[in-house]
Amino acid sequence: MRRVRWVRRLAAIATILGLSLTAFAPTASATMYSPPWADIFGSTWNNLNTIPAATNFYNNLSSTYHRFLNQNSTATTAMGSAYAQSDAIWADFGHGNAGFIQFCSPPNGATCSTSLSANSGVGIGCGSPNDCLSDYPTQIHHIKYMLFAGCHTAIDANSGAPNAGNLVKQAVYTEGVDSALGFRDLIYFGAPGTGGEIWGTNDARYLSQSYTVNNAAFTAAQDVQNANFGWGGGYDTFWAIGGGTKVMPAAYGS
Amino acid sequence: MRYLLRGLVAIGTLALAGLAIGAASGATDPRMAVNVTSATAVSAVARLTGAVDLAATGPFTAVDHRYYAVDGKNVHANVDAFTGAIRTLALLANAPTGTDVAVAKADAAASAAAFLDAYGISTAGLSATVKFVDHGSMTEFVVTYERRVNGALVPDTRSVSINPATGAVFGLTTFSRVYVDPPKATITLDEATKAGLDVAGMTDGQLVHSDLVVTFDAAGAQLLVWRLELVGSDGGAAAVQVDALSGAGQLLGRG
Repeated sequence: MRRVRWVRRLAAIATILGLSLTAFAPTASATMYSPPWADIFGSTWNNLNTIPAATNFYNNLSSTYHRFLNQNSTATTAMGSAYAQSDAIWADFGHGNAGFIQFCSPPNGATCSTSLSANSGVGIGCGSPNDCLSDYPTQIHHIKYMLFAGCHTAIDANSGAPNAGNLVKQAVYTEGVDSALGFRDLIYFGAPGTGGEIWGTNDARYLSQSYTVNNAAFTAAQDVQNANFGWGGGYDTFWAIGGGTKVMPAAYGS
Repeated sequence: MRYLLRGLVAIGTLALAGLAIGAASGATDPRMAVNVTSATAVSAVARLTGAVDLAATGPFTAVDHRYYAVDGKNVHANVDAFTGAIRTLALLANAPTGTDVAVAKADAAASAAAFLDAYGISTAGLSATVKFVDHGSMTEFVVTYERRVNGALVPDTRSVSINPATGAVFGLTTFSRVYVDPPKATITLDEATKAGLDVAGMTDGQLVHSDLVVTFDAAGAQLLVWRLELVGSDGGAAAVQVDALSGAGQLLGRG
């Protein structure tokens, strides 16, 4: 484990050096490891803290994946060669809206809200520390499951933008990710029984039991209702493309 | 005799839970008690599913109840450890695998009603609505049964998920609790929204969703609350509930 983490650090340094040498040209191809990598991101922003939900997802995802829990990474880091470009599973829990999901970089403040947008047609741009899925036309297609666990992340942001500026559509239709999932309504984190922590736990648990992406999301949403006396807290508005995908046995996508 | 006594205790506790308005603060909701064995929970799920490979884990502790998780091949259920009722059930062998729609809304409603009737799950006094839900690579009809008193959603609801391609039931939720009919809200939605914005720390947020619902506090006392979803000027969201009689607010979560 220590050796692999050291390799990962080296890869990250290489990425930084590579970026500085190649200006804005993205890295050419994805890297696949054995066991396959899974990166899970959580962040703090204003009074929102999604790290517990991300931690639950991390803890309940099958250990046949090499899992990494990342707190308060920037969007650029999350899409880097040592992260999304090496991942079979990529999951971010954060503030979101149509067309983007948010990351942070400590300390909280002006640099905190970095965003991953579907493409340059929406959000606040693609330059570091922000980023766009559309910057990675060949580098993330080995991702089997990409999760955007934030409010409205499966809503079209702009009908004039490619894939309507929708994170889920952009990930699957253009970047070649096998499956992606977001939400069409507000979702909540941070209070007992509210939802994010429960949904994160159980989505990972069911995925690890060979449920499809759709069935895991559906059943985890029922678990949120169980905790809230029928109120779904928005988790029943999950919206996926490639929802028939299974992440077990652990493997990279196509 | 032992089972008779246990049953009487359960009924008595249930009655107390439902009529616990004004229960002393710091007390524990009587519904946190465990009256049902794991074997009974498995039997309840087996009766609806016919599955023979079920196993229960728990009881687990949630905010307002304890429950067993019952799992089998293509089956997951949560069973209330106080009442033995199935709260949620996923029948994944029947789940949609695409977006084909071959069933009309009326047929979906009929399938849901037939399923509930077949298993003796009462919908007496409840009104049904049917909603088509798009989940991207799958769709569902959700048939919801509920009742409102003085505009408030009371704690007696069912929902049935129907596969639009086949008409098969693949999901069920049932949430019931003894309650007394709530009074009319004395706090208006506008007043509740202001209180909710205060609780959320939003100075200029907007109300996005609202509902008036009967719920219960940690001691099991019945409450009438406005459940509000708010979005602030920074785009952050908050879910709050505001007591519709006293105006007291509570944060439910942020997004």
